[in-house]
Amino acid sequence: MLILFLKTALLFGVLLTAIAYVVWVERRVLGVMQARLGPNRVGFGILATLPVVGRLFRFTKETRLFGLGQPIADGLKLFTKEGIEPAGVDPWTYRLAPILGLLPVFLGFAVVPIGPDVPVLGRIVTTQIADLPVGVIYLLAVGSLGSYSVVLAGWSSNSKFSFLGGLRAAAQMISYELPMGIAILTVVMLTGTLSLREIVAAQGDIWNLFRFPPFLILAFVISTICAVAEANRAPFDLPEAESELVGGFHTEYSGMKFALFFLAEYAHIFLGGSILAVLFLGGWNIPFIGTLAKVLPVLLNPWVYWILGVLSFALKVFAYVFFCIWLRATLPRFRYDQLMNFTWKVLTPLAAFNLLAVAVLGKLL
Amino acid sequence: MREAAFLLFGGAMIISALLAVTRRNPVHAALWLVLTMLSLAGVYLALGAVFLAMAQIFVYAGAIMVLFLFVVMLVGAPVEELKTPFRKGSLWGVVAAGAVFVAFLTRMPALERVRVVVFEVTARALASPLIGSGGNWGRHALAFELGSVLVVAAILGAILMVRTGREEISEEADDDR
Repeated sequence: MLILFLKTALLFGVLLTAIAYVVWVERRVLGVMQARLGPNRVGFGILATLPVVGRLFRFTKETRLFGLGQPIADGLKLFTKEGIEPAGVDPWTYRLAPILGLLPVFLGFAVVPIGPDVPVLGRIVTTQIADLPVGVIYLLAVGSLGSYSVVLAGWSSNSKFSFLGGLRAAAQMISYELPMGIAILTVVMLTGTLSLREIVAAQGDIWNLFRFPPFLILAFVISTICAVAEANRAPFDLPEAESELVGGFHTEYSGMKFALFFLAEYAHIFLGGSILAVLFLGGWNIPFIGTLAKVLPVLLNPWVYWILGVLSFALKVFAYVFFCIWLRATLPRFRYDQLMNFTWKVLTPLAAFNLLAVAVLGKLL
Repeated sequence: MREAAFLLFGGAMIISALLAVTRRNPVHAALWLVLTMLSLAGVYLALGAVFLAMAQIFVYAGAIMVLFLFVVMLVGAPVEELKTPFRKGSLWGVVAAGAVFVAFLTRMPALERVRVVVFEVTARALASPLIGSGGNWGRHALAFELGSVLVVAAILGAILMVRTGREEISEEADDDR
């Protein structure tokens, strides 16, 4: 029980910090991609006032550290801002919506295996909060609850921009869940289990991505597109298209309620990356570890192995996060009819035929 | 532990279901219905049917209720329209439902029996029309299919109810095209 609590607390802490800093990474990377600087001013000037640390690292009030203090400043700003509730909102639904946005995403992380098992004080501890026998379905189920947040935010705000954004978001999320589900089904069929832990364990020799080429690669591409669309990220950010809908479903939100939507969006990116890493990229498996361990046996020490595994997983997730930022800097937004045509006429049939192809191949080989 | 969870989720289900049918605001009613669906998933969990619980969340709470909400919002029926006065005729419905409920309860001699029914029959009865078991393969298939026809009829009826009074607007919109 205590271990479970500690694991949950640790995951929360790491996740929230990672989210805060990914916002900074995004702004910096976008800056570089758009030939400008991005936030580079806010440093840790406050550290210079501390007695020991300030001397030790020679911090001054001018210490900028590439703007690493920006997330803390942003967080403080959002915490202390006034939460304005516009006239005519539906109060309880309006307050419920941001919570419903963050809750399913964090629930989803409960089944994600982050690293290999590790012995702590003579007990084997899994780096996963809960290993459900139906983990994949759980992820899909919890993920499908995320659309309530945007729908309710849009409806309760009593604003036409919010409302249109909410409706768009609902339609988009329902539509893109379908090809995502079918593509994930390909993996489930291949590994024959719904437990994420077993799916990762089955990829020790070869990642799912490289099995039956090119079919699993196609499934991976479809899942990636859908994961981006589910997180409402560019080029699928129609629910919050600023040029036509102001802020979309969160137009009327401010302060901490807005911050919750913001957090949910970035947590969603992380969850999408985690799902893709677990299902297609081998989870925490480290490539060529067997060969490397022959030269360096220390790699097989449980703790070293654990650290390497967690790093491997984190690297895969971060690669996806970077890919999302890259997409945002590169692609213009879809038009609404293009968005719907793309999923119903391209992705869904493609995913279905892909599933069929893998089923036939799996039976033949 | 399991029984406590069953009672908790079952209670939540009954309360939210009552709230769902008594709310004036259709969106609020739909939201309470979502909670009913989620509580039902919780009941399945308490009965040890993990897969069924997840499927319940995924299909009903995640897909069907979002669609419900979507339609309710898109149609945007004004709340005033739904404030129909209480009809005396509906009292008979309540009486009939209550009679069926009492009859159902009296068929169960003791509370033990209820528990057995809940744990044994619910899961099997839910699974057998679809999958079937042993000799009675798909015994309730016809009833199940008839039920689905009923649902389709209900949806068509709902569309018809919503469409009345909107004919002129849609025709004008067609002319514009």
